[in-house]
Amino acid sequence: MKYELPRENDQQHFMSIIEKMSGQNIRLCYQCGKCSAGCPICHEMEDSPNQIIRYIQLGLKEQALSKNTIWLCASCQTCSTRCPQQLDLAKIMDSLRILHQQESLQQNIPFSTSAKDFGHRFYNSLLNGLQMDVRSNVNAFSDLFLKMVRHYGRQFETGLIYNYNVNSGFLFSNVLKGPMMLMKAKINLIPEDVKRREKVEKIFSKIEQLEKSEKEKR
Amino acid sequence: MKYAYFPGCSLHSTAKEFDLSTRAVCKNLDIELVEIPDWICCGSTPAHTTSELLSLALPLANCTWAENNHLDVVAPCASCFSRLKIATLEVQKDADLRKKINTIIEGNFEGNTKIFHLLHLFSNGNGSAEKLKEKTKRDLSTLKVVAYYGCLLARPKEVAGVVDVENPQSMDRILNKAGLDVLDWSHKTECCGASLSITDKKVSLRLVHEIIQTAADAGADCIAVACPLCQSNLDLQQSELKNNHGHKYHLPIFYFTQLMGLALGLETNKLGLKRLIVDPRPLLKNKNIIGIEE
Ligand code: SF4
Ligand code: SF4
Repeated sequence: MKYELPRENDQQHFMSIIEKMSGQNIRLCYQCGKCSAGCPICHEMEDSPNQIIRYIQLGLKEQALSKNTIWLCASCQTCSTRCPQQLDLAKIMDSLRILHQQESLQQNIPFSTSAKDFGHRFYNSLLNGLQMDVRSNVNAFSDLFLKMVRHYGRQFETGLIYNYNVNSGFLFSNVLKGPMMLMKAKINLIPEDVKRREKVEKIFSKIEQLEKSEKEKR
Repeated sequence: MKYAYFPGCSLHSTAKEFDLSTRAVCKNLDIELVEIPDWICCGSTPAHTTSELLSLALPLANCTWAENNHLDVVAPCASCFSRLKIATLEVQKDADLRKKINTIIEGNFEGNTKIFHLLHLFSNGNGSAEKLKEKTKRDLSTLKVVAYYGCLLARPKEVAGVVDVENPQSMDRILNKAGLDVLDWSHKTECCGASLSITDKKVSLRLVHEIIQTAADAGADCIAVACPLCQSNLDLQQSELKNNHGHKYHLPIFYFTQLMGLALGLETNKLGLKRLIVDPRPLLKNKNIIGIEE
């Protein structure tokens, strides 16, 4: 594959952002590939974990952020525990996801609630079974998960399942086996009442403000 | 022994049987659990992949209560445990970060509280393991089990507190003390795919299948786990898998506390056995571990 390398300044800039976010010295990676050899999901990744690290070293931001790798990563930490250079790759994957979200590159993602898009995804899910875009699924799941926590203080699975299914076009799928879980009383129909709800809201909004001002500084 | 208990969201919903059996077993072994009042979600993976501050603030808002009450924290969920412990370690290392988090949570967390996973309570040499052996009432020696740790009870090393990340032993030891036939196997610490079961079913099924198949090949009757997400991935998706001969698997996925409870002679309804998707009762009846009517 042929890539045009960015100018040296831009190269350093992207690497230093990720280094700062993750607290890792990415220059240390000497591309031995041990991380990828042990990664349980490397098989399904468009680019392997060590390739993503190489992209960062070379300042190839677009490549690092656009592959399914960072979304398929299950944070299993196998790479981080095995890297001979003690690089915490799982943390670097987190940083890439966070950066992606912050820079709103996800606007390109076909995940939205617009009727046209929803119809398209639904049609696709009929055609391809459950072959959806992992990036938009992960974003939808994370986003809804945190919205539930922000609202209720705790996870409310029934709400999460309902919203996730509607939003992701999994409407008629049994991914989450909602009915069976209800039958076994595995999930609650009513959210739990947490007395510190306002406190949770406060935590979320304070962090939102802090991160906004930090991003502006950058 | 008294601990601040952080059950976490799963133990109040999909993993109620983990909560039930944890409480029953601890009571039997004279370990007192005080549930943290109005605890909030630890944020799990969605938090640490979205915002570092959020992934620290949510856990520490809970740990502060424990610290103020001079209690160490115990969490049975591997993910909650990991998030609580990582957050504590992070602010221990970095005083500025601690200040920042304390402003966010409007508390004063110093980082003195220790965070344990439930497994640690029974394997840290405090005598619980011996007590378990002494109090064993049911004979489980015919039950062949493999201990499945998954990711977060083995990694990262300093968080999980294991000697060998590739071959943890704490659960094996406990199950041994409980009298089970604990088998050696290769997939102790392989990843179950975590929430990929929701976001990318195909990948998740492949990972789960490898684990189930390896356990079956090792000769196991069942798998013991210590994480609600591992449990639900292996349990809920099992019906969709077939072995090389086209047969379905039937490997009950127990929480290790349920097996401890069985060994201690606790009533099966106190351990939530019925709530498991792959029903373990036929296996247990077959081995004469529980009665026909249970
Ligand atoms: S294991 Fe470490 S040094 Fe080797 S390629 Fe991966 S990140 Fe680089
Ligand atoms: S943490 Fe992510 S990249 Fe690393 S081995 Fe696990 S799945 Fe692969």
